[in-house]
Amino acid sequence: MSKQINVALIGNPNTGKTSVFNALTGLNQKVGNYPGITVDKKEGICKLSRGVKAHVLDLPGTYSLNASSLDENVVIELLLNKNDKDFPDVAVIVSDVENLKRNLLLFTQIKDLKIPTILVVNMADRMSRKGISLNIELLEARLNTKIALVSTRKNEGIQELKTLIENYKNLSIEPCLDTSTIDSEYFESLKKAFPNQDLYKLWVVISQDANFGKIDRNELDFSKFKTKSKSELKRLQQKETIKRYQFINSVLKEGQTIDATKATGLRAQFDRILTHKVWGYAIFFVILLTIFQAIYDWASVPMDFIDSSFASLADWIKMTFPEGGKFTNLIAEGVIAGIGGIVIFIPQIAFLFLFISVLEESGYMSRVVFLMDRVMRRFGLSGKSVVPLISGTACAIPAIMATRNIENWKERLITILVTPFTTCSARLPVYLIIIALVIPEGRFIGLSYQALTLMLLYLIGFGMAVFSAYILDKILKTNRKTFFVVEMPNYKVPLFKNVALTVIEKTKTFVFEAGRIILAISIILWILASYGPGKEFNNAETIVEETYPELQGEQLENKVAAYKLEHSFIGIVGKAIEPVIRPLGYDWKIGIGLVTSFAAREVFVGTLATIYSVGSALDDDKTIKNKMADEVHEDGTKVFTLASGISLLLFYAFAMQCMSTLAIVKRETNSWKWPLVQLFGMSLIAYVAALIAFQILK
Amino acid sequence: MSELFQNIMIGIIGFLAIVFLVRKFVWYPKKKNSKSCGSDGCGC
Repeated sequence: MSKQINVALIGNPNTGKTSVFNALTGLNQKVGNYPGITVDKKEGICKLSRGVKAHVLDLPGTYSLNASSLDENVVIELLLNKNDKDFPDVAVIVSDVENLKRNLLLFTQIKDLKIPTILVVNMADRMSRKGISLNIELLEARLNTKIALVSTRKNEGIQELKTLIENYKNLSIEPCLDTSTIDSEYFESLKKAFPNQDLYKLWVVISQDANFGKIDRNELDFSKFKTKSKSELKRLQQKETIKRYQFINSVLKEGQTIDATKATGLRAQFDRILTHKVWGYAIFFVILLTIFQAIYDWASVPMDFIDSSFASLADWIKMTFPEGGKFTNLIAEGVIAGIGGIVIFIPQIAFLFLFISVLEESGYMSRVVFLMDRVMRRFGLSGKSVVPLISGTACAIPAIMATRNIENWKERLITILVTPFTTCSARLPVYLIIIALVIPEGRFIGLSYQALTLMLLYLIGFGMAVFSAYILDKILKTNRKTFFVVEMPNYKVPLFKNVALTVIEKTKTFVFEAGRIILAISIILWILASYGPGKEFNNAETIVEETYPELQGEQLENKVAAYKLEHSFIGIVGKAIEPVIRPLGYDWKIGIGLVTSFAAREVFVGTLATIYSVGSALDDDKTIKNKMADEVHEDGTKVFTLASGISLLLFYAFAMQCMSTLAIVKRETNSWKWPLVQLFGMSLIAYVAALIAFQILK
Repeated sequence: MSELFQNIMIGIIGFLAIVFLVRKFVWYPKKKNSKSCGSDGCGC
């Protein structure tokens, strides 16, 4: 069997590293986590010639080997640890043709670790437009490496890159910089203390602020070595950077020419408009409106199709296996109804991630971050809080992990506490179904009321996050603010392949992660709804027949099913909590939905689908939406009205209905105090908002 | 299928569902990383 080549893809953020990764691996990739931390680990297999395969690891973007964040630590730890199973046989450094000077800093550092290194100059298709020309042969000679000129957009240079990877053993491992020239005296003593170690590797380990657990500490025992103070080490780091740039400048002076007269300056013109203090926000607002309108307009057809397909499937199972008894009911009413409650939202989720992905790929998202930073600073939030809050629209968990970049503890704490207010994708199913039930289908200036309501909910969530941060800032009294630097990447036409892979990956994660939880909860709910204690449940038929002698056929069966549900285990629990939620306009069945969706918000729809399936004997062919729309109180009034619907929407906008988020907050704050403050605080806000909304609108 | 058999099947499926949720949210065995320095999975 031929050996697999370990390839590490490394590069500055926004150099198109992921595009190169996608071009190399296609669909042969998976996304996981690095052990113990929530930093995405993307790996894939690339087929080379003669049956040789390469295991490609797409490492987080980093500007240099001077780590300042968890993402960067991951890169450095891997490159310093030869015992790691992912330690690269060859490092592929991806650079952007327009930012070669800055990107080469990382290249020279990695090359000096004596790892065979290939330089990818990406986005080569932009060279002529920007008036850039490169002397590849000269650059290869000066940098002592092989260069692949790649354009992932035009799919050029990938084959050449594969050939270089395959022949990695021919690559030179000569360093770019003689490390000892940084400070000859200091490095001489270092050499004497560790005669068997590589000097630059030692320097990287010594000069980092972080500890590297994976590196063998016996091998690098610094206790006997008198190192310099922190500030002196920083000074040496700066000296190293200056020396590297001197080297890079001399290389690029010979190997790169830029003819500014040929360059077109569209980017600056776009930036002037898109980050304008008035037009910038107006354009962002219009883009948001378009997204929410499209989610409703484009997704309604596949959504209705999926909904009716699941209803028909449940009906078919019951008709085909009438002798199956309770087990058939479990499948039709528990499993299928529950799963249907999540699968129905695939089109909307896919469209949402499609838009997010297009905005990210085009470079517009960085401009949004810039715009938001301007607003948030006025409310006491650090610029570094912007990224967690915006990424919270996908999921609060990675967003909270992303706060590790905020050095000031109080600022970080505030960001952690307010991030769950931003509307995550798990809220979307709840919003969509409730909006469809209670908001009329009319239009206002071409925009549907439903889409406007959805957008309003996103803005309310974001507004509440900012407002809470302002209040917390006053209470916790933060003095020092951290600085925020954001890189504005060039505008690009999004690559279809990248967008498609993101949509597939995100939708798959959403469905399978939430799907498993929903399936388990649906099964337990069905059991709790189909069994009950005492005579009331076991003699339901006799009791109903005696109480309602006028009922017959379908009406009688429905009444029996409803009576049984009310006296089942779940009915007893639901009735017990009903007094607390009655003022919000909810009945006990919604109450059960609120309790189960504490595990994850999207469980709410699956829960109601299961409860309503068990509670009606002959409605298996009805869609989830229709079942919810037909649900009535004992007095015959509808359960889902404008008042109760708005109340529910506001409850879900503010409530901390996510156990996983609480667990992450506990881990990040290292105490139960803050997750409990968050849980009770958010629940209280949600309850009061829902109460006020229902009492005003009823 | 006899009712008893069905109840047993439903009981087993319900038990598995509870085990899954407990492992997901309440008690999850830590994946031990032998090369890590700490025990809190901090990644440092």
